[in-house]
Amino acid sequence: MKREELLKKIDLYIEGELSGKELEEFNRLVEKCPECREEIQKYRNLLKLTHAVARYKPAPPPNLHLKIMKKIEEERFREKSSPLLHFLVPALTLALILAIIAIPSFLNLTEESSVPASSHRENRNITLTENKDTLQNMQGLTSPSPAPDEASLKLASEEFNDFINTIQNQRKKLENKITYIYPITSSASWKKLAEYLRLSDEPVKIAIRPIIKNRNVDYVDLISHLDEVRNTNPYVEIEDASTSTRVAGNPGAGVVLQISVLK
Amino acid sequence: MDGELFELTINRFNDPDFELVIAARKGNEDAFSELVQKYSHQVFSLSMRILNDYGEAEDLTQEVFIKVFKKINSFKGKSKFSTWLYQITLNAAINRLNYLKKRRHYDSGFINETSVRGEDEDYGIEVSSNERTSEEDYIGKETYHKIIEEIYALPEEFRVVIIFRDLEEKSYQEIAEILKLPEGTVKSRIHRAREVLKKKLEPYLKDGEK
Repeated sequence: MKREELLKKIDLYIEGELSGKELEEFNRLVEKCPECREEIQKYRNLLKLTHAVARYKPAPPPNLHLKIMKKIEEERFREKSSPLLHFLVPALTLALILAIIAIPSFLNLTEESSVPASSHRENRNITLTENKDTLQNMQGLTSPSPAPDEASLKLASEEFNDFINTIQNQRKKLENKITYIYPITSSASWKKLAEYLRLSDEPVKIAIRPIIKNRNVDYVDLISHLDEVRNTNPYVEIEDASTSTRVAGNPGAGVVLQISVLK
Repeated sequence: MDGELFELTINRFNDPDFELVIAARKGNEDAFSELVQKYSHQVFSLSMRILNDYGEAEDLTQEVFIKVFKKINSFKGKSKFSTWLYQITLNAAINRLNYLKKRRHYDSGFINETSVRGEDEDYGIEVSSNERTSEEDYIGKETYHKIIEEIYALPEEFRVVIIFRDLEEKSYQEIAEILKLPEGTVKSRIHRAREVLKKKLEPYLKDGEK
């Protein structure tokens, strides 16, 4: 083999990738060629440098695995439910608007008969559910003791901000029990919920009632957020009823949160 | 289906991830999670080496695994799962890099130090705890940045092989499989890339200079 041809394999020689006849030829060349030895040394130094750079590895982001799995879960949810959502979002938004307009008037008419004169507390229940696949199944399940003047509303996940705004804007107008069923699709939604609760300036009672503990749901994350709220806002009371109200056998079901706003 | 299974069966004995992939394809979320656990750092590392931007690399890593999740049913087992994953990562990273370059995000193509988060203040990146640099491996900050700069200045086809071989330390065979090139082509491409680097880094290659 010609010298030039052999020198093309100089890095393979250094990396120990040459064998047999090629290696013998290379060794013979090196013996009688001082320039080749100089070239080999340069290559050795180059590889030392690049290998030293390789030792410096970019530190992976914290909780990378968890973040990826959350994205996957969101993707899985989107894939499963998008056709339903396309139908539900406009329908439920309309239902919410109508209810907000209609309920205060309705409550004014029924207030005298439904609230005992001695009662100083109003109880408004807001129930949140993890998975919108369960929306249809959950009607009735989420409201433990429906009052005669209770209205049930279902909201889709994209409406969460509206949901929060609605509560904030309408809370003074709401005079009695209202049950919301709301699908929480990601921990981002929980964080928003937690943020809302953290800022709440009136007593809030939350009952966590998962229909089934779905392993895709980062339940620990949810509880830790709510615990954080409980620790920072004395108005918030959290009752974890998750273990006693779990219902097996419904793979579409997720975590149900019941929030009672008390004053 | 039988044909598909047959193709998958071919790799049963030479792909360590075979069982996990089969389970993930059947919808086993724990199996998919295990694959993510096993490879997320490697995907991030390759993304980071190519994009040189911490935030972009993190986003890309998530994007890659969403792609894998969506496409795992189309994985036929003709290569190892890890090879397939690297192919997806490489394609996504190159596409992203080209997009960012078009937006002039990378003015010089040089390391974006502020975007790199890590523990080593001097370098802006972390030295793996089990791979602390020995005396022999130690290089000065200026040298480190010069090498990175020259690697990023290489044409894409050279840069990619150098990243795989010298920074990610893949074998020639693995690189050939990932890039779907003959091994001989990979070897010659790496040699040519090193020739360029050798010229650019000439002052750093004299004995005793680091």
